[in-house]
Amino acid sequence: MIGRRWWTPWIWLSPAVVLVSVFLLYPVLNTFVTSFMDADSAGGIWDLIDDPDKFVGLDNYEFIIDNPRPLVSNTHAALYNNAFWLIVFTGLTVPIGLLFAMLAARVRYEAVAKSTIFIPMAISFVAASVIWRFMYEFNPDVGTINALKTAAGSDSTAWLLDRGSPQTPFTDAGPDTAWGPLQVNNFALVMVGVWMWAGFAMVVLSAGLKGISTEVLEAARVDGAGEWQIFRRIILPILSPTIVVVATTLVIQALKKFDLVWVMTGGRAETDVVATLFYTEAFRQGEFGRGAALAVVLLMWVVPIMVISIRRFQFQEETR
Amino acid sequence: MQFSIGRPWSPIVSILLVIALALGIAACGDDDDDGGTTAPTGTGGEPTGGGDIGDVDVISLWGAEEEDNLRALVAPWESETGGSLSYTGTRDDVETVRTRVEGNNAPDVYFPANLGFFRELQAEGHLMPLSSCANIDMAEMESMYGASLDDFTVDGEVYGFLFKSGMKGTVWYSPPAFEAASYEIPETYDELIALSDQIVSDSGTPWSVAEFANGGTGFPGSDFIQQFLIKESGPDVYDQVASGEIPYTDDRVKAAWEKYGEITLTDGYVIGGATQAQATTFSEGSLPLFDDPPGAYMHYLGAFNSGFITDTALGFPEGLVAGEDFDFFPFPTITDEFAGGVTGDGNIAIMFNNDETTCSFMEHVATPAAQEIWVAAGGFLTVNKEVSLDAYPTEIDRRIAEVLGSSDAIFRFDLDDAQGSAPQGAVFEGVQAYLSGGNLDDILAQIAASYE
Repeated sequence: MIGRRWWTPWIWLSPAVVLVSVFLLYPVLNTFVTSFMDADSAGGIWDLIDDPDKFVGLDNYEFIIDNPRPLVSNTHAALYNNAFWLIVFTGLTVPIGLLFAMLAARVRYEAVAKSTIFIPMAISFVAASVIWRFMYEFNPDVGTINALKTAAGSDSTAWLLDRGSPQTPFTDAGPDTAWGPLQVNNFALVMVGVWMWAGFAMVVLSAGLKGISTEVLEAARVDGAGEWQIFRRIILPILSPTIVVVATTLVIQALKKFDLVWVMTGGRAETDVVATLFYTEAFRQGEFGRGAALAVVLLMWVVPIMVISIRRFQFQEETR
Repeated sequence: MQFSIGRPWSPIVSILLVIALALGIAACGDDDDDGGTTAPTGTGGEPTGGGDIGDVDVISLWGAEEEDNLRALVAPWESETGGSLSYTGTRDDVETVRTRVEGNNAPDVYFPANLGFFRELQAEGHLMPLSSCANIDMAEMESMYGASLDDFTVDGEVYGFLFKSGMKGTVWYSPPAFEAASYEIPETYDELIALSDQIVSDSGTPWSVAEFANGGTGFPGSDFIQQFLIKESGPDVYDQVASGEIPYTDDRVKAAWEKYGEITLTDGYVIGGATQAQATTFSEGSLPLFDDPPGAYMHYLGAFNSGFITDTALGFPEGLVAGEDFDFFPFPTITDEFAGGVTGDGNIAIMFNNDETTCSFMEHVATPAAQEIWVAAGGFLTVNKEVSLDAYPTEIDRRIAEVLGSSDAIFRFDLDDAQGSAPQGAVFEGVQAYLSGGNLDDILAQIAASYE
């Protein structure tokens, strides 16, 4: 009669609870506490117990808001760039994935087409970033894109450094320094992200498409609906839960983007995102308090999105 | 009961399992504590451990060929003492060491390339002085490493030595190209500018500049500027800029930046202009020197550039001979008094504990016999006066080593490496901003602000 005692479930849960507490809950709380402490506070809570003078209140958050050292710790650029990633990366990857999924479903060599698009997902992201660093290389003897550009008679573009607005590489016109995150180099980085993740969006959405029963579609055709109308009025609504799942995953990806930016630019030329900046602050510059504050800001961005997606998931479970 | 196997597992067993798991995690932590640092409280010279030479845990940023050379250098020690090298090579060495030190899991020996980080580790009390090793003879260290130990001496205790050094007072050129146009090697800054003007009037391009290095973009410019600073204002000003006593907004610092600007921003001086200068990878900066006709005549980069020029994979022509097809001239003099000023970087050897293994390892890597192994393999310069100049494989290496070891040389550690990481990042970004047309006063004010 093991199952009747109130503490029985806790025994089975305890390994998971211990692991989650040690490896998730404690670090999160510790980071939160560290974000209110000075630079030399890698020990977090334990440092604070040793030396209460390490408490600095909201100083680290003030630093993020005031941005007093834009040359080396450009917190504003990092926040704007994360917002840029969130909107442009998600906004491009989902439609492109959907487009590939729709098109692939209509050809006989579907498997081959889908595998081709999916391959970037199978490469390690660091390796893919290195590949694209070569693609974007300024020297046209090395950089594929600049080789094409120079072959067409224009000048090489410094894709990873150019802070101009995106039309400058193509028209040689436009402002030298673009507004906020709308820089050539940020677009160049986001395009690599899209290239990597379009395959993921495609595979998931394609599975969603396969789930739509052909009878519904045929019924619509019999009623005289055009292909666009079918897409707009039938496929999109049925597919919308899947799209939300894909978009949520991509949004979280965009917010915690690190590898790609780190390998390709190291956050230089105002391409920092919050994740690269807090790594630089904490581990390169030894500003543990400030790094933790940035990590907390990042967490505050991610949490609402996770809550929404979990709610949605529960709702779907209930209505099933 | 569905699971017949589940039955014999009583709740007590599962509780025990959980406790065992928790203890296991705790035990891992304990292990690290023991194996890592002997906390350097007090300078107790007594070696810990059982007296046997064991594993030495070493971190540096060397990988590939350099790692092989390090292993070759250590091999005699391994076979002599029975110890063994447990090596981590990572480009993120600062981050790795910082994390391990904070986690009480410091390595035994570390070769930082960053003087600022060395000072930080020393100030926080993580390092052991060399004299705490009974087997290291400080008088002998003094005779081998001379004044270069000054950078690593705090309150009379020496905490490290310059294991591998680099030299950054080199301007690269192609002797055949200079001969064909009958250009003379400039010895002063004025001659350098006069030569640049002459090349422009001969419809050539004097300079190739290459600043791109991913996260380190701008470091060649930073090296360039610090050469101007030490040659114009001397080592005392240089040291005070490094320590922050002289702010970055000082006129002498500005003068150095303006000289850098005179070369990189003057119309027609730089191949491809400021855009190409920023976007070209530093290792490929010397490529235009070997075009026919030369795309550019001069390229400033540290002594390590000779390794790139002989690397055909980067696109350099095959069979370039050091001293004949490519060569360097020492950075021109600006103020006569400081003609011997030369900056360089290097890898400092430091230790986090003084057990017998670590001490014996440190003693070995300081010896000329060990260092000559890597010297002979190439790519290794040392300020160690006991290392024979004959051991250097190329004429260029030998001449650089001669400059480093000469009596009137005023050697200073790389300025941005000595500053600490926030100002270093600001200087790199500042070089890029300056090349992009930023206002110099604003840039210098922002760099000064990064000292906090």
